[in-house]
Amino acid sequence: MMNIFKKKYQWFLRIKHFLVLILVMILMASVNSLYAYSYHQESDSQIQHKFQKQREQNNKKNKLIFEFYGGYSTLNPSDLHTGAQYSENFYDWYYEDRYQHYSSAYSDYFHFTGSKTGEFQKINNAFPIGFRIKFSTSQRVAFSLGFQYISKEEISNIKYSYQVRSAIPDEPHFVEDYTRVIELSPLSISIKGYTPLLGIHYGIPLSRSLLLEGFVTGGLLFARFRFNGTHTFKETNIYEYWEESIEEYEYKGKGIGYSLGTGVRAEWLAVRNIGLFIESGYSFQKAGRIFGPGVYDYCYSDSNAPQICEPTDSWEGYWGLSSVSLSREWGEFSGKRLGAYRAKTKVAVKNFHLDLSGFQLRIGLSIQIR
Amino acid sequence: MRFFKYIFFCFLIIFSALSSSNQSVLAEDLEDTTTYSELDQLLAETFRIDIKEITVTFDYYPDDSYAEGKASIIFQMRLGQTIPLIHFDPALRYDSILEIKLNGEHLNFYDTSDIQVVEFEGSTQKAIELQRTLPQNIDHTLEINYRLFLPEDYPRFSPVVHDLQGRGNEERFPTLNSPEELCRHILDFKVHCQKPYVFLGSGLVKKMDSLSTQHWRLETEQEVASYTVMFVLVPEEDFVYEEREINGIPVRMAAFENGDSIDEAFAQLEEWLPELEENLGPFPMPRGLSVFLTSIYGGMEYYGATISSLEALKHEVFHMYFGCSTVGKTYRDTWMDEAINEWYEHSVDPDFYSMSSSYMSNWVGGRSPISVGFDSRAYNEGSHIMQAVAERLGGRQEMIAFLSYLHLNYSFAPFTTFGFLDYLKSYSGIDMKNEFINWLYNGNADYPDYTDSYHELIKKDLRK
Repeated sequence: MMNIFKKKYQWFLRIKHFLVLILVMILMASVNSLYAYSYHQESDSQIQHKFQKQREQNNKKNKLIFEFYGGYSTLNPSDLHTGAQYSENFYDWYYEDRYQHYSSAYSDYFHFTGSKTGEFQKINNAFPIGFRIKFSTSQRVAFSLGFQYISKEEISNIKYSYQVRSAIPDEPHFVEDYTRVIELSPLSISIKGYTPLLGIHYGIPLSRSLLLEGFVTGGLLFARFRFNGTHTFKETNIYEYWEESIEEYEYKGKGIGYSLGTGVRAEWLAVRNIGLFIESGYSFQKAGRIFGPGVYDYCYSDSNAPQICEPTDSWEGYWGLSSVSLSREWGEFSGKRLGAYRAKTKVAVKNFHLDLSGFQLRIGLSIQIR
Repeated sequence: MRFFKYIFFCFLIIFSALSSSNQSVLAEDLEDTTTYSELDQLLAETFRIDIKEITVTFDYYPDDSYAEGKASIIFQMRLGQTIPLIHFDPALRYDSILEIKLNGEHLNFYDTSDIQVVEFEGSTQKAIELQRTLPQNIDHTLEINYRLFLPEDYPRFSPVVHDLQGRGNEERFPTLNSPEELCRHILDFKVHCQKPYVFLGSGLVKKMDSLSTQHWRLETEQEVASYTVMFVLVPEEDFVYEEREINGIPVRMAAFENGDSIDEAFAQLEEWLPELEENLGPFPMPRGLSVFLTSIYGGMEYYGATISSLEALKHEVFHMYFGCSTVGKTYRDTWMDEAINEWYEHSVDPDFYSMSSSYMSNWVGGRSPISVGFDSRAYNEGSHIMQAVAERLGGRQEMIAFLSYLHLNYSFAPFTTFGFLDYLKSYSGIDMKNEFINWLYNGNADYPDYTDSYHELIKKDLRK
């Protein structure tokens, strides 16, 4: 129960900035409605005059605008998913596929109960927050300097649990009778992106208080990832033999890449110098040459020996994905596993990219300073 | 002519005097070296007996899924030991024993004044202790008649050996589950069934004349560890069987009709056996190789035999040199078989790296010398340790030359991990004691002050 609460609380913390922003905007909207109501007390000509004057003043000088926003972004850091999902894919193949195959190919000799529960949780979205300072050089064109932060963590809990009795005649050990439980729990992936951005904005006033804008942004992406997991394996057989192993690892890395974005937005000038905006667009954000440390711990025990742990294995290097291909009688397996291989074993690997690209929908608040 | 006869007679007397003096020197040396080390003492206290010969007659009833065994074990008590024991696990799980006799005296398996089940700290292997005090230096005979219940799923009768888990042939006949306990095995298999059967096994296998049963006799001829003895009985109608000779080595192979290809397996061995012979020496088993080819991945090596899939075949056949002839003294020392085997396979890759000098672990030292099974790190970490040895020796070819020396000189003379280091040092002058103690004993092990190598050389000389 505490864990559930803790998890929810962490999730809440992660989006709290975004919620605060929404609350501020709701507050501003209500202030604006009050403000608008006060205007209604005046005559229409008075109002028109006021806006006209305001706009004229605005057009006379360059403007400095502060913008704060939060929003939603689709994400698919595919290399991280590929590397982190390797274990699940491998166990799916090694246990689920194998047992299913034996069960149908040797239906008289192979019986198992049990299955997999849980599945790998991908990072599909995140809630970016950011701010920018815009400097308008004309009525329609503005330049901006901004900063965006995006982060997300996903935790998976996967369990494979089986009771197996095998007496396949065409098998080296012939008779096996065991229970086997494998847990990948927790299996956590997280990303973080820090993006300083420069932007060009082109605005078209649709009415006195409504502005449509297109923008292009570009900048650097400072990306980070973390992948950590605990794998436990336990098997007990009819010969009173049991074995248990625990693997724990944490991989971290960071790298610098680029961020290019484009989109459109609508802004509503709610009060004299405060506007609310909603913007949508696509950001290409990708970092390569991800460098960082890895830590791996392994402990093993069986009925014949006490638990013996390996010394903590730690290393640093450029992260990569290396291909693994296996072939067994129940099928083929191919996967890509994550590792800082180049530093450790000099195995040639595909470069590992941290791709934080995605569609973004942002809403925010702009404050104009004269 | 009479003069020459006289000269010849004198020469004979002198020669016999000289040779008897040589023998007495050897006997004295042996006496000196048989002062038991701590390890030998521990092994003696745990295993108690020294088996000379195991004879078992199996009457196998495939239709009823059971076999009856009549086992006779000839043994002597080990130094300082008086109460014998034996390993036979089925008797501990179900009502298996029909009759038990020690030196002709009937014992009651269920009477604790006759039999007790004992355990030893550091091992999960339970032993059947026979509550009788026996004198040393004379042969004793233990006879056990028993029944084995076999799986009903399919009429295959074979061992269920799993060395990694520490399971040996004590699941099939009374013996000692210890790699250092080498003895001759004579196993008779009588199949009580109309269906023709195929038999494959370790060592010399003879089809016996019998009117009422299908009868085979397996003789290991050589003294071997019981867990390396293979036999397989399966219905002939489901199998293909073929015999060929490769490089002068007789190879017998059986596989399921629709299973893995015998031709592919032979093709593998056509290259593999000559390579092994060239690199490591003549094939160690004079009766050749028996292969029970299975389709499902995996395998288990036995003396002159293997039950193996096509993918694992080379690995298992390599074990004929290391694992089935050059053997570890205790289960925890058998990591070397797998390490050498994996090293041989992977070290062809120039990027195969050696174990880091900073690596520290305890996967040999953390296990008791009397425990059964070994640590699975033997395969991966072990192979990198062997690569470190190879690098110290100068490379792959130099390591192979050392392995060949090791195999040719120390086959069937079980040695410990430290024995391996002794042999390495005597062969090359390279001392890797400190590295091995860090890698395998967490930096903390008492290197025995006796030399295994001397000890084993004496044993080997005696065998000759």
